[in-house]
Amino acid sequence: MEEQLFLKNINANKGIILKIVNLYADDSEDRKDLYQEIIYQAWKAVQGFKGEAKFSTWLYKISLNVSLTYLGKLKKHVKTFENISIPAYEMPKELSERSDRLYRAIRQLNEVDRGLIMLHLDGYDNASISEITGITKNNAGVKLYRIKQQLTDILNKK
Amino acid sequence: MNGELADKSQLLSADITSVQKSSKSVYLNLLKNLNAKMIWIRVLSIPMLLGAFFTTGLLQYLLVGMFISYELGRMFMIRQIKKLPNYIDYSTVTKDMIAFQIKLINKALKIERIWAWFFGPFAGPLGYMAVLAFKYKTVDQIIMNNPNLLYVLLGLALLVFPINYLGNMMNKYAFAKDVERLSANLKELEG
Repeated sequence: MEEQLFLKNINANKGIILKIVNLYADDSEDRKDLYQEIIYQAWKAVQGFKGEAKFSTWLYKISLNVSLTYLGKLKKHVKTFENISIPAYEMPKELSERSDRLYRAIRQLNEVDRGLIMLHLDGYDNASISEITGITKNNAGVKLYRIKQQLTDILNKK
Repeated sequence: MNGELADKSQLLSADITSVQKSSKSVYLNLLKNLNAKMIWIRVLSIPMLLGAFFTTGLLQYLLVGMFISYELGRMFMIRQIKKLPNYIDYSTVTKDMIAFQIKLINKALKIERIWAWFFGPFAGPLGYMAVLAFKYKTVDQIIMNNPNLLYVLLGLALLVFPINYLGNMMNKYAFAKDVERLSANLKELEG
């Protein structure tokens, strides 16, 4: 995939990256780093993208995978790699109170559960979640049920 | 609600930045540390070779021997490190990707342990012998003036145990938390 097409696809699906970044990184500096890391890894993996799945699904997988193995702000070893122009990370504007509450609740879940519920909220069915994460379809269903219960508890506590 | 965050963000700004290369995954960070250690071995071995040019006799042989052993060890380690991939394919299934990273981390740590056990027992005794050779010039003189030489060399060689123990503790401190995190995520996915 050419750089221009890649960037076009990234721009069209930027929301996916941003959602994941906001769920896994703690502060704006970390979010910016994770955002760059996801795009960098996507760029490196894009030659293997054959279009069998939607670009959004593929990007979701990369975003999740990078976030789940990301070291965070404690261990940064950054150096400039090459000049691929990408849209700069911008802080999201404030969410509505309801959305903000839900995001805060999701952030209290463990890392894997955060990803699973995010996929579910984005309309991925259990089969797709299974394809992306490697979790079995049945297990995805069971986990999502538990996650929803957990989220309800968290939200009711507040 | 889910689309809200995406809609409200305005990533399509006129600003552009450059993608930065980062070693921010646990495995790539470990690989980077291993590569740095290989540079350190070279930093340690070059002065030995240089020293050999300006000395004669036993000390010269010792320095050349040390240089060769360090370089052979380094070559061996580099061959092992080169077998490790320096790139993680993040487009694979999450569970497989995490399992693969854990496997690679354990491999990299194993290479580090081999390195420690290979160099550890020789570094102390050879260094001590080099000091003695500088002072006494010949093997006979060294033996004559150091009746407990064998015990001292043995003691120095045995230092490998506490040193490697400390090394393992340091690795645990540096990586255990991250490996635990990866293992916990894998466990969650295996359900």
